[in-house]
Amino acid sequence: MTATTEARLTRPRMTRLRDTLREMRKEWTAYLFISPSLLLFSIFTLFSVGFAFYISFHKWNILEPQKDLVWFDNYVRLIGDKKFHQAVIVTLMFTVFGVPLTMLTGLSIALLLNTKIRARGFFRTLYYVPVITPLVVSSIIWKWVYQGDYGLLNYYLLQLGLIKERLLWLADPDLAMPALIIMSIWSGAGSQMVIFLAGLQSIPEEFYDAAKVDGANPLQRLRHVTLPLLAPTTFFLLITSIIGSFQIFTQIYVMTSGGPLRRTTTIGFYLYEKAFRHFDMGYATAMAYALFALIFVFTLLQFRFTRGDVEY
Amino acid sequence: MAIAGQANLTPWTSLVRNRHVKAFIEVALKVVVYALLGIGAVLFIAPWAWMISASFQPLGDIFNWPPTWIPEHFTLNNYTRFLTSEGLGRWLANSSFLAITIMLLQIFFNSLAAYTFAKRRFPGRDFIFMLMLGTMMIPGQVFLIPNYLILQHIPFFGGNNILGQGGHGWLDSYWGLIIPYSVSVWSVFFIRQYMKTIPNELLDASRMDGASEFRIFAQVVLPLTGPALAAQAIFTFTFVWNDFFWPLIVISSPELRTLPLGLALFVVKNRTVWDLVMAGSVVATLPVLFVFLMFQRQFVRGIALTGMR
Amino acid sequence: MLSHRRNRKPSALLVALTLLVTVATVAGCAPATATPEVVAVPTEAPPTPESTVATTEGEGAGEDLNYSPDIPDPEEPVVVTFASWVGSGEWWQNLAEQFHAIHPNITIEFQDVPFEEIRTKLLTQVAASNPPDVAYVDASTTGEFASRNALVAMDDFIAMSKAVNLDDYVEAFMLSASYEGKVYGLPIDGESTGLFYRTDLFAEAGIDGPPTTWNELREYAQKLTIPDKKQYGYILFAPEAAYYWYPFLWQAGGDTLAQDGVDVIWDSDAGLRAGEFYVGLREFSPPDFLNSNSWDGRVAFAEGTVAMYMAGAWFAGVLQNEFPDINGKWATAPLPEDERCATTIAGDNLVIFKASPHAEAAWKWVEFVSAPQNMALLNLGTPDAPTTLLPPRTSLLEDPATFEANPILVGFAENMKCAVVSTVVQPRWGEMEAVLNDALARAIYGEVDASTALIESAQEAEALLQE
Repeated sequence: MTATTEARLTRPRMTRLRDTLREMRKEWTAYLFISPSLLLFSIFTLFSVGFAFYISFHKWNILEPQKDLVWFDNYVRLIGDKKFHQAVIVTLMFTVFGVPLTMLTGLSIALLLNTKIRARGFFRTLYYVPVITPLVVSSIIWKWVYQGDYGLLNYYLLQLGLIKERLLWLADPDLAMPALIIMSIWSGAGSQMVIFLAGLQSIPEEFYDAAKVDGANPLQRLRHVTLPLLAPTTFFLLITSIIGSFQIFTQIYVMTSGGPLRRTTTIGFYLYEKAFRHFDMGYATAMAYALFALIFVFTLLQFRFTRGDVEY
Repeated sequence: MAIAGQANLTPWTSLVRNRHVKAFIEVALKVVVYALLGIGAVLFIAPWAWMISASFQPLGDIFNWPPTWIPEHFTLNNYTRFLTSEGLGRWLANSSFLAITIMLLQIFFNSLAAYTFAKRRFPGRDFIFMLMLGTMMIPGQVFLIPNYLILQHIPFFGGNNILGQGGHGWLDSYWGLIIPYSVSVWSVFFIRQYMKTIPNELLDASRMDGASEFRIFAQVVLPLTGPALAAQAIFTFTFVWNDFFWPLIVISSPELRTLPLGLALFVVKNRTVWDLVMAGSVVATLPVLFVFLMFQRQFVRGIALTGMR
Repeated sequence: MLSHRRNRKPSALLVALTLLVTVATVAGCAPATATPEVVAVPTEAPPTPESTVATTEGEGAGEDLNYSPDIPDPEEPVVVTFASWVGSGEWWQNLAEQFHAIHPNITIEFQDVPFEEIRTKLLTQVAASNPPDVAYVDASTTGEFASRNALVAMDDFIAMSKAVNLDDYVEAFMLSASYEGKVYGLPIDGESTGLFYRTDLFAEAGIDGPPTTWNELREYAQKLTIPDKKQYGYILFAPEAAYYWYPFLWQAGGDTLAQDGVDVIWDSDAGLRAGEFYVGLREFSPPDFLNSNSWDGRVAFAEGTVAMYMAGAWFAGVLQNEFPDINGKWATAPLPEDERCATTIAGDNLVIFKASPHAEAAWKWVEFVSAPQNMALLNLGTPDAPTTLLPPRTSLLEDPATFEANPILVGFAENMKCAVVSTVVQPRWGEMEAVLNDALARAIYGEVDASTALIESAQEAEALLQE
C-alpha cells in the first residue's frame, strides 16, 4: 500500500466519499468512454442475468405464464441429482484436458507461423478454416473420421500399427469424450492461433535483438522473451477458454447427443435438455447459476495464482 | 531482459557458431517447420476440402462410402441452382450489412472500453470489469428468452408506447440484430490485455504534452493496437456472418433473412437438399476467408528461426 | 526508446470494404431471378389444373369455398401469421393467394423456420406472448404444447366446418393430435413405421421374404449376421432405444403407462418379454452404430452393412434421393407381429395458438389447407424429389392417385391400420421417457440386463412423479 492510499483509508468516511466523487469528476472521460458498452451491457446482459436468477427460484414451464415460487427447491434438487453430478464430472474432464491441449496447439502453430518462412499468410488461412467451416459440414466429416469400420482415423491408426483392432470412438462410452476433445482442438486451435499471433506482434523486436546479443539460442529466447511477454495474452486465453469450455454445448448436440450413456452430457447440454425438452426452466436456470458459481471460483483461483495482470 | 552467460565456449557451441553449419541448421529447421505445418494444415483443412468436393457432386454421390474426394460425376448444377435461388441476393446483402456494421461498431466501442479498463484509473473500475467478466460465466441458453423479451419491449419502436407495450419493439428489425451485438465483453477483455502491453510512459508523455484523453486514445493507443483490432475484426465478422440461432429467433420477415437462415431453408424435415447446402456453404465461407486474408496481414512481423538475417 | 510498429493506413481494407458493400447493395437491388423449377423446398407440386380451377371457381363462387359460412369473416383486414418449415415454397404461396381471394379481409403472412428449430422458436414466442397465429408442428410438439395450455381446442370449429369431417380422418392421427379428449391440432400429413430390408442380402442368405413374426425376425437376423463380412442383420440405436422399442412392446400386448397416467407398466410381463427380445437383437447389430441415430445410420443400410432397418416412410425418401445406386436392392414390409400387429405413426398438425387475437380467421386458413382437394396436392412432391408423407384422410388414402408419385407408400398407408397411439395424459412424459431411454441404452450396451433395466426404470419414473 502506498502512502497516499493508506492516508486515504484512514480518513473518515464522509471525506472518503467526497474524494471518490471528486475523482469520479476528474476522470469523467473514463466514464464517457465506457458508457456505450456499459449501457448495452446493462440492458441486455444484466437484465437477463437478473431475470434468470429470479426464475431459478421458481417453477416455470415456459409455455404458461404462471411461475410458482419454490424458494431453494431447484438448488436443493441439484445437489442430489446424479445426472448433474455426472455432468459436472464430464464438464471438468473436458476442461482439464481440452483447454491446455487446445492452447498448446494454438500456441505452437502461432510460434511456427511467426517465423520467417514463406507462405505464412497461406498457412494462417488454412489453420483458420476450421473456424469458418459450417458446423454441419464439420460434424459430418468428423463422424466419418470416427467411424468404426470405415473411418479414416482407424484406417491410419491400423496402418501405422498403433492399434490392433478398430476402435469404436463415438459409440464407445469411454472413447466418446476423448474423440470430442480432439474435434474441439481442431475447431478451436485456429482462433487461438490468431489471438496468439496478435499477442506476438506486441513484443518489440528490440527484446529479441538484445537477447541475441547476449547469446541466447532460440529456445532460450522463447523461454525468456516470448513467453513472459505473451503473458497477458496467455492469461486472457486461459480464462476465456476455461469459461467457454465449461459451457460447451453445440458439438455435443450435433455429434453425440450427450451419449453414449450420457458420458458426453456436459452441464451445458443437460441444461438445454431441462429447459427446452423437459420444460423445466426454473431448474435449468438454477443449474446455470450453479455452473456460474463453479466457473467463478475457478477464475478467482486463476487470478490469484497466475498474477497474469502484469502492468507495463 | 538480457541473458548472461555467453562465456562458455564448448566445442559444440563453436561448431554451431560456424557459418556453414548455421546455414545448414537454418535450412533443416525450415524443412521441419514446413513439414509440421504442412501435415497440420492437411488435417485442419480436410472437412472444408471435402465440402468443396461435394459441392461439385450430384446428390447421389455425396454420401459415397468411403467418401470420394475427386468427384466421379463432376457437375456445376448445384452452383447454378444455388446462385439462382430466389432471395440469395437479399441474404448476401443482409449478411454483409450486418457483419460489416457490427464489426465497425464493435471495433469502436470495444476499443474505447478496453483502453479505459486497461490504462485509466477511476473509481469502480475493477468492480465493473469483474462484473462484466462474471456475466461471461453464465451459459448463454438462459439468456434467450429474457433477451427476446427485452427486444420486444423497447419503447417507441415497432409500435410500442412509452412503456414498451403493444408492438413488437426491435423484433424483426435490423436494430434487434445489431444493437445487442454492438458490444462484446470477451472482445473488451481481449483488447484490454493487448493494450496493457503499451508502455505507460508513452501515455504519460502525451498527457504532459497536453493532449486530451480522446486524442491519446485515438492517436497514440489505437494505432498501436492494430493486431488486436485486426484479430477482433476477424472474429466479429466470422461470428456475425455465421450466426444462425439469434437471427432465427429475432427475424420473421423474409426481407431480413441472412445467409445462414437462407441456407437452412434447404433443410426440410429429414430431407436435406445436401447438394445445394454444400454449394451454398462454399459460397458462404468465401467472404469470411476474404476478410481473414485481408486482416491477417496485420500479423506480418515474424522473427527468424536462428537469428540469421 | 522503444518503438512499436505504427499501423499502416488501412487503404486495402477500405477498398475491400467498399467492394463488399457495393457488391452487396448491387446484389440486393438486382431483381431476384425467377426459378424455372422448384428449387428451395422439395415438398411442393407444380400448380395442377385442379388448383387453377379452384381459383377461378373461388373468384366467381366464393360461397362454395367458404368452408365455415357460420363463422363470419373479420370486418377489418387481418393478418394471420403462419409459421412452418414449408411455407417458402411456391405451392404454399399460391394457396395463400387463392385463400385471400376467397377471404379478402384475411392475409396470410408466412414465417419460415427450419424444422429443427421451430420448437425452440415457438417456445420463445409463446413465453413472450407473441406466437404466430397458426403453426405447422409435429405431433409430439402438439401434445407438449396442448398439455401446457398454449393451443386452442378445435372441436367447436370442426363441428361447424364443411371441409373438415372427423370421420374421414384416420383415427390414429386424430388421437395423436388430441389431449384430454379435445382436438388441438388438425393432422395435415403423416407416415407410419415399417421394415426396410435389403433384398439382395436376403437372396444371398437364402431367405424368401421379410419376417412376419418375432421368431422369424430373430432367425433371419442371425442368418444375415456375418461379422467377417461386416454384415449384420438388424441395427439398434441407443439414443433412440425407446422409440424403436415401442412397436415391440405393443405387439406383445404391453404399453408404457396405465390409463391413469401415473402407473408405469412397461415392466409388465409383456414388457419384459418385449424388452428381452429387443435387447437380444444387439448381437446382430453393428457395434459401431450403437451411439448413432436412425438418420446417420442410413449409411449402414446403403452400404449393405445392415440388412434390416426399422424406420418411418421418410427413410424411403432418403434412400431414393441420396443412394440411388441401391435402387431395386431394397424393399419395405410391415413390421412383424406377435400377439398383435402394432407400429408407430408420426405426422404433422396445424395448430392455433391461444394467444392469437384472431383464432377464427386462423381457423379459416387451417380448414382451407385441410380441404381434401388442397391436402391432396400438399404432399405430391416433384418427380425427382418424391415426398414420403401421406394425407391422413381415409378418402385420400383410398384414392390411387395419391400413390402415383411414390408407389412404395402403399404399404405404409396400410400399416396405419395397426397404428398404436397413446391417449394417456401425462405432462411429464418427456422426462419419464428419458428414464426409459437411458435404461434401454444401458441394457443395449450390456451394462445391465433388459428386465432389470425395465423394472428399475419403471420405479425411477414413478418416483419422478413424486417430486
